[in-house]
Amino acid sequence: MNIFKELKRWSRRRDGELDARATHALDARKTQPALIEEALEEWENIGARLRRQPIPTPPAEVMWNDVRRAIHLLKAQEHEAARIRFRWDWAAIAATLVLFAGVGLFSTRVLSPPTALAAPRVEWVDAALPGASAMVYEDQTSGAVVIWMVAPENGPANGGAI
Amino acid sequence: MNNDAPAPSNTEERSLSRAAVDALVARARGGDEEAFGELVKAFHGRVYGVIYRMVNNAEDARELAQQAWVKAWQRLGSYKGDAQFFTWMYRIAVNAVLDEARRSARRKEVSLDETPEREPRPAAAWQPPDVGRPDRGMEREEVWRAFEAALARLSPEHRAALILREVEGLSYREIGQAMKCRTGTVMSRIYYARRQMQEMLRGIR
Repeated sequence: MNIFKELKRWSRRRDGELDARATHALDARKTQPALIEEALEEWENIGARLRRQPIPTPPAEVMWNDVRRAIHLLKAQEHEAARIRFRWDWAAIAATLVLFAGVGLFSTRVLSPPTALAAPRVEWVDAALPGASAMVYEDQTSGAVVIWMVAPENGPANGGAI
Repeated sequence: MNNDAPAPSNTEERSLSRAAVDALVARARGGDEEAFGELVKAFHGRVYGVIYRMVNNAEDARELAQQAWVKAWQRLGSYKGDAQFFTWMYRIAVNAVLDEARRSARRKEVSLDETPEREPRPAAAWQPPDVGRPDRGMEREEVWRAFEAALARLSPEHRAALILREVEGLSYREIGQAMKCRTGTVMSRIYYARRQMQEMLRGIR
């Protein structure tokens, strides 16, 4: 007989957790070694002493007051956290709107110039050179105003001037 | 041999039937603080008793009991009702003690010099009585001290299993539910707790 296995069975037997067959088999062994007798007595003492241990229990009302106070504190903290979260949510939304507006403005003003500038404005002007014709327009890339004069091949001027 | 389930350490709970407890839980889940207060008052003695026996200090026990109840309030939604309310509550209470034991062990690892400061407790009407142990009757003070020292030397898990069995009379299954472990583990823990206590108390009567 393994004494430690036997003790384990007695521990379960003491707690009413041993099945009927094993309990019967244990009880059938009429003689018990002194070690088991001693253990059972000691365990009984330990249990009894645990149950007799004086507990300085605070009144239930006092505990409830403590718990209620802690719950209210917790609620207040959660409320505050939610308030801060709400504030941050709005801040994030506002920042996003500002960002979108900025990007929108940038794309309309800078990336895609006004349609009026897309095609160069060309105007004819009166030129003093005989047979020459002049154009005035705004250069799309530099933004400079260009005066372009075209003269006939045999005329006084062969090209244009700015 | 004693196979009778030991009487609960607090009799207040007996006044509430399972149906009454479930009704209070349902109301508390809906945010009814008064209903939760009824539960606290009904189970306070048993919950505090388990915690006190595990920590053997009135102030710590009070703080941990309060933490356990606040956690219970926060987690009421997770209580399914498949186990008894007190089993569910014991789980929270035992976990609060085990978590504190782990935190305390970590703190010791981090620094052996620093002593953690406690937050000052708001003035309370009740102070833990100095259990000067006159109620221990004829038993010698040193025997009690040896007993408490032996209990304190058990691991928190072994101590919890032994207390839940011997004092609260929970079955192995209920202890397993409370401690989130298998019945076989509960059996082993209780057996080894008894053997260790027996060894440590050898020769002390």
